[in-house]
Amino acid sequence: MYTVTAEDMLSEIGDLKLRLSEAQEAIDAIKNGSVDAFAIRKDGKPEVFTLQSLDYAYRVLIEKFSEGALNLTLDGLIIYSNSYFSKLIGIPNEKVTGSYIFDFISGESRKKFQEHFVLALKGCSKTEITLSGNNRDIPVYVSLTNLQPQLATVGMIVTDLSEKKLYEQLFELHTETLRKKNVELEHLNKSLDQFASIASHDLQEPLRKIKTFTALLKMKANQTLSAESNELIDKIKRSSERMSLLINDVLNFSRVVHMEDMFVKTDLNQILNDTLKDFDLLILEKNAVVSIGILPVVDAIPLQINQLFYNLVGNALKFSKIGTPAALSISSRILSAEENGNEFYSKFNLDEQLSYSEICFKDNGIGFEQQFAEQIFSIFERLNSQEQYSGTGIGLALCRKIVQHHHGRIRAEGKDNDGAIFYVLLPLTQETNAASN
Amino acid sequence: MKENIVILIVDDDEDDRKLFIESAKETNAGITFVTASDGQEALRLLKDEHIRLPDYIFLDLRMPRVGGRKCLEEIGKDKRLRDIPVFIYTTSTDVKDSRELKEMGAVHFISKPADPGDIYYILSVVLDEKWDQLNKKGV
Repeated sequence: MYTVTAEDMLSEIGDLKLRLSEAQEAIDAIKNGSVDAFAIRKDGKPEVFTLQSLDYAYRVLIEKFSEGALNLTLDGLIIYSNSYFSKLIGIPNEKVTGSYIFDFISGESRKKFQEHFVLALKGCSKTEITLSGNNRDIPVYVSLTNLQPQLATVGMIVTDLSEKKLYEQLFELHTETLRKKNVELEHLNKSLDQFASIASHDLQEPLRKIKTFTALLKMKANQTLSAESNELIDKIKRSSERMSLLINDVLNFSRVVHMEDMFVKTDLNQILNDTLKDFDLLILEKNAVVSIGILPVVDAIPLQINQLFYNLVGNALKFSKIGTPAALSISSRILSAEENGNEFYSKFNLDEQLSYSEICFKDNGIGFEQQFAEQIFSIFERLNSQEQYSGTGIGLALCRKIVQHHHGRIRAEGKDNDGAIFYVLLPLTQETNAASN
Repeated sequence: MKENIVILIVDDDEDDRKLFIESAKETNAGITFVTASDGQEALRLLKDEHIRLPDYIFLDLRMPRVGGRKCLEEIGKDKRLRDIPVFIYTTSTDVKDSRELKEMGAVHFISKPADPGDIYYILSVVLDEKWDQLNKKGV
């Protein structure tokens, strides 16, 4: 067993005291700067630590930086630069150290940098400037930090913005291209609509004459013509009437976006009532039951909403089941982003700033297979034969165009032989849109 | 019904002019028709002080050289002419056209009917000066 005597302990205390006072002396010497290096005995051998070796770790880290790091005297002389900075400006490190920072700043940035350098002497300062190195301009972000009073220098961190600027330029270029394409597309759409408008107007002219002269022929030669010839004349008449209907629908379709009518506060109840009046006879004929809920007042173009309701009510009555009294219910509810959630809004790509009215037209007619729910809104698309159900295949396409013109949405749900539901979403207000119209 | 009526028809379409005059015979009103095939010719006739001014003008819209719109504008500028009732008689069914031309001074915007019988109806309503009845017929 090892025993410790009082003498051993006293001698160890004395030894420790000596080492403590030595250590204290060394710390004081480091503090007042009178020591450049010191030795520590390790495993019986002295190991020398210089101050340089102490900040070695920091130097290595700074050298590995993917940002420029510099130490500048108060008049801008570079006393340290990491290799990233010299690589960035393309000048050897030994030439960078010992030069003035102002030599590497492009003419137009120099004044700005000087101002920020002065600002930095009071604390810190950050700005974007352009460096000029090896005949090349480099956009950078600099952060200047005053290291006084510990050191009479200013630290400078340089972030290369070349790539960012390049992306920004590319982004701007793409945005510009996109904008141009949009304008082009708008022009194309306009000329397409104009084409439809002019073409259908010009088509109407000879068609009217076919109708007129067929009518005159029938009037003047009715007695002398055979029954077969008369029937042929009737066929010409029917075809030209159908052609006329088609042309008119195309014309209406092309006119939707050209209407210069402004959005006005529109009572949808009023419009629906007017629409239903137009169908008085057909409703009686079909023995139809129409139930209507209360509809809101929205910013709209009344003539277009009239056309929209007319087509939807007309469809519900037209596609009723033979032998079953038609039933149509029209109801509405108000939707807002807060109450109905983002999911609904994002599903239908609605503007979260706006509240919408969802108007629902539900019938008990022949319906359609759900797989055709989108197709039915395409122009000239028909699910039923012309013989069975008359029409041009433009009605629902026109509905969609009108709703889109009102910055709304229209969708359909259906079951084969078991009714259809049409949902119309219309923004309650058009303020933001009205300005751009 | 007035008598000794003069009607100026301005239309580049010969068929339409003939149909119009043909239908007028059925009104038995003894109407004298003056025709012009475009706005330019119509204005020349209207500005000639030796020619009697028409009682009514039927004006097509789309015509070569001077169209109906320009012609109507010129008529509106002339003190001698501006009180003659002008009826736009066109294939167009454009509501916007109709509104604009009425604002420019046209009495009515009539879409050319396909049924020749309707021309007779239009003429008799015009001669009776019961122009609001044109609305009811939807023309």
